[in-house]
Amino acid sequence: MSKQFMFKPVMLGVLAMTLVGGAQAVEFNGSGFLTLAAAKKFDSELADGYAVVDYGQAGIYDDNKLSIGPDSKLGLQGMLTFNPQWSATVQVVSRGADEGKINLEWLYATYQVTDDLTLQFGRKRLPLFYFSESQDVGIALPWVRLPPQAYGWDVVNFTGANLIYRGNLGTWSSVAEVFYGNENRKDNPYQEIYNGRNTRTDEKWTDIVGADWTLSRDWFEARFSVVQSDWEVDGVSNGGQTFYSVAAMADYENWLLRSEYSIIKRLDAAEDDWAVMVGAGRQIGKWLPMLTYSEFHGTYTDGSPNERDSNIALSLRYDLSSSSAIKVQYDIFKDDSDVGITSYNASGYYGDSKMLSVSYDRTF
Amino acid sequence: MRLPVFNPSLACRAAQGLIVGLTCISLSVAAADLVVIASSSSGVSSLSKDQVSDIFLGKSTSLPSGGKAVLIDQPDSSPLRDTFYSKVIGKSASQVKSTWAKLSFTGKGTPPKEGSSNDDIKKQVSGNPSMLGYIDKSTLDGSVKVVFTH
Repeated sequence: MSKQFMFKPVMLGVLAMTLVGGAQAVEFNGSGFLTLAAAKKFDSELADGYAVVDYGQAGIYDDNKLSIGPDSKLGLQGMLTFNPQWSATVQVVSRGADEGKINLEWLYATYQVTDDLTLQFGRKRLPLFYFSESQDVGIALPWVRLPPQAYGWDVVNFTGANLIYRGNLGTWSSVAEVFYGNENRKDNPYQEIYNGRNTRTDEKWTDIVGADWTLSRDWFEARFSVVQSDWEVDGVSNGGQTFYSVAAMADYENWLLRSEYSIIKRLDAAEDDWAVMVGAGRQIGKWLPMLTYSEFHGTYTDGSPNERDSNIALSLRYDLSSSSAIKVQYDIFKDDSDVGITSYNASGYYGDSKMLSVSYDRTF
Repeated sequence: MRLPVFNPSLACRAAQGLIVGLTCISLSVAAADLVVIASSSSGVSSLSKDQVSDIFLGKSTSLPSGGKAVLIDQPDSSPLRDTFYSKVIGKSASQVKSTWAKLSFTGKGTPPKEGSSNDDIKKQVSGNPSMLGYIDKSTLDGSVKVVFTH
């Protein structure tokens, strides 16, 4: 299998490290996370309308029946610490959206170069936006799921290396990261959303170069990032693409703000998009009610039909314990796309809909 | 004439004579005093509240004196753990777990280990110059040094 082939160099690196570290006592640490979610789409504008909740994994509610597949997932992580400098981490995730198949999402080695500088190499999540890396970890989110309008892209992993530098700027904590890698995604589930069910599309992102910078102080956190790469679909190059993101998060007393604005430029493919999400909530004891607006605004400069949609999510989280929570979410989805953006269904667009979701999230 | 001062504790004890099984709780009990501790060989002499907060929320991973910080928590069910996070850090136990879940499942940090008791935490901290923990002030002894007092 091609995926295994791709992992070989990573496996060898981790194996080499195991041998280096093997002489010393190795500490193993296992942990995991779980999301069990059920949702029902209703009040659909179209008979064959559908709602995408996770673009990267093609998590889709495409009928009006109660479904537990698209948002549910189980992740298991193992970390081997060889010494204070070296460790190796593996994370596998089984998803309802992928019929429960187990996917290797993370496999990387960490080398602590100095107290402030960390080098990691291997397979990781691609940090396009603020929540991209923690997208699967439901317990860390106030919602049942991330707003898909702001997190709907083709590739979610990469294999390569990243360097993290931590420091202080006056009273601000700063974390800066640069990374480089590639991703070869065979039979990309994302493309089924556009090209049709059971179609097969291979996609490659090459020479992915990115930088992100997070500044935090007391109750405020801001993140800035730029990622660019070349990309090709079924062997045909689409030229370059660049993702920009600015995110601001606040946890002021019991008030909570989650916001992000991103710009996506695929100018060689005549695509020029932006996305936004803004959510505000208030922690009241163990309860966290929240109202979140998200919007995707796609533009094709060559006259192709544009994809545009928005969502209003009313969510409520209740902490059952320090490591588990239940959530209820009501979504009002509005499809403003030009007709004919996808081949997933006969009508070619999502259609307006509403959705009611419940989830149980925990970490262990 | 001087009126007798109402003393809830005495009143309760008097009522105990009438109601079998009534438990009197002393109203003078305050939240446990806690201290953040380090090994006596640690380079850290004192930490500000913000520093304690940044380290225990994974915002900063190294000690002000240099070296990576290794953290140890009170047991999950411990009231002292709730007091520490709510009073010193200003977060609920659940918010803290969520923060560490985000960091640990994205390769950005290693959550605190869990000690079994004040004595266990003192023992582990005293043997590791990189470690920081917090204990009930009343259990403090010479094996560790205090770097922050709440």
